[in-house]
Amino acid sequence: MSAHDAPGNALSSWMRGDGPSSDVVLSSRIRLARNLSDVPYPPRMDRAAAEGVVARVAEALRGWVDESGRPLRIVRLDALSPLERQVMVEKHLTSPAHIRQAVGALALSEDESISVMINEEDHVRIQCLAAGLQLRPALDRALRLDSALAERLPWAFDAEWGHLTTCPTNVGTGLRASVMVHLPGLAMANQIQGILMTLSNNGMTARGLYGEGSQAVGNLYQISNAQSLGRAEGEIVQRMEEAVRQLADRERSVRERLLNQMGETLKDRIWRAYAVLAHARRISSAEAMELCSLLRLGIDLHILPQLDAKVFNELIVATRPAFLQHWTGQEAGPDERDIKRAALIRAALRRAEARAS
Amino acid sequence: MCEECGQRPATVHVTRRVNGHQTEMHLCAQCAMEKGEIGPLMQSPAWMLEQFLSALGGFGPGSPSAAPAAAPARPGAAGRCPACGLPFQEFARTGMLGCANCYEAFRRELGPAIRRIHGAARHVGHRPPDGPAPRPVAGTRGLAGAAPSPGAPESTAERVARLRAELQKAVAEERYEDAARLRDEIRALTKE
Ligand SMILES: [Zn+2]
Ligand SMILES: [Zn+2]
Repeated sequence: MSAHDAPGNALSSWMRGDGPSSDVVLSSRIRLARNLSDVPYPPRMDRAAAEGVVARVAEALRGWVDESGRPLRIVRLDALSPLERQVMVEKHLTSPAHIRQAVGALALSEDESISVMINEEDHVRIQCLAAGLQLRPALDRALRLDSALAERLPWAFDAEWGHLTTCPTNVGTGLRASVMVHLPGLAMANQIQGILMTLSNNGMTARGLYGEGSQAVGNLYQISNAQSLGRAEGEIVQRMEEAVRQLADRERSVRERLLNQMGETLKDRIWRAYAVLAHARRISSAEAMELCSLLRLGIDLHILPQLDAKVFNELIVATRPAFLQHWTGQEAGPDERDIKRAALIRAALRRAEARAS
Repeated sequence: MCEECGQRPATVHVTRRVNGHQTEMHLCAQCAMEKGEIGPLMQSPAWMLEQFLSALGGFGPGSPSAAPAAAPARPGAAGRCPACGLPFQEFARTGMLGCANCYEAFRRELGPAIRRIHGAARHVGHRPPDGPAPRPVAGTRGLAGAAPSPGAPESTAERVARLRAELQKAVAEERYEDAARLRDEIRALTKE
């Protein structure tokens, strides 16, 4: 993979659709926020200081290799086109705030499961991604990289408040652990609000992944820890994994019940979603997300045996506006995008069916 | 801007369908909570920040109701961080600190707000190697003598020795999470 391939492939390997509890938990993400003690934080640093941070972090990463024995590749943001940067955001390799920075860089592992954002809101944000429910392994990998960097860089650290982040909402561990979950069953059963409330009473936050505020598109939610100070990383992650496992059990039992109580109606909705995705000539991002959610439910309930879970992740990333534009290789307008999106979806479904047969 | 109070930024967007008629509301997190539109902890990072700023005690943009009517001027509140020059007032507006030393400069103002949003006041968990001195000033002088000469790659034997020392320290300090991780790391290295 070269730096320029990263925006081109729809799927990073961590998004291939497997992993523990992958029928409900699509992916796990760990983020550790770190800062240098001797440089102003990103909101207050000048260009020279920002360049200095990029150089020092890149130097500190030299010689470090991931589990597969490969080094991270440093990609400067200004070496990417605006569109390529947006695609990196849609692939969750970086953030909207990061790509707005004047001087920033990204260190990526070959499989795109590790990305280090340099000069985001904090000087360094280590991010590890994994398929399914794998917060603990992702945390271990992130801490391993953090330990290596901490030997070479003077982290801003305080005996009382731990890692000193730019925003005090992240102090302590600097940890944000998140899982992306797909909850079509609980959504159909109108149980989402109650679930979100329960999670929130247990120190977690939940929000719709692509929608605004509490609205979710495609029944995709991101659940994260709310507090970063006062509990060890391992404990934060363990509590979350337990809660998410319970949530997944509940989603599964609701799906079972839906299938028993309204089997034919549910099957009809799923096959209709499939039919539209397989044949439509024009489709909006929102409609595609909704139908993909039903498609995924059909795959998990073995109603659509001709498809595998991978196609869902492929479609979710590939139907986002910037990726689509990158894929089509031209500056497409919204109407043209809807036509291209439909074509892309049809092609992906044909490929998936060829894989299965 | 929030449709209810007209004071805070709208961070919660509620869509309702009543008799096929769609209405939208744009609220700040606080008004959304008071109207029962969101649960107490369905917090976006923006919401957490808003809570933090209001916990700063009336210096933030939010929550006039949360601030005592005549809050006495506090020493740090008019000041600046001596290291980076960030005025406290600017921090109270943005929630972004300017450098590591800001935490020292505004320690008294930050303490209660940090405790309120995290429900804790003390870090537990991973630490940089060497651990901090009892009360370090995370200032702009760098971390003297903390890192081994950068660039010199560590041999496996050196690494194991260092990890063993860290393990002992972790056990002594009752950081069992860290101890378990170090033990596993040592095992993995000595198995090879
Ligand atoms: Zn309001
Ligand atoms: Zn400062």
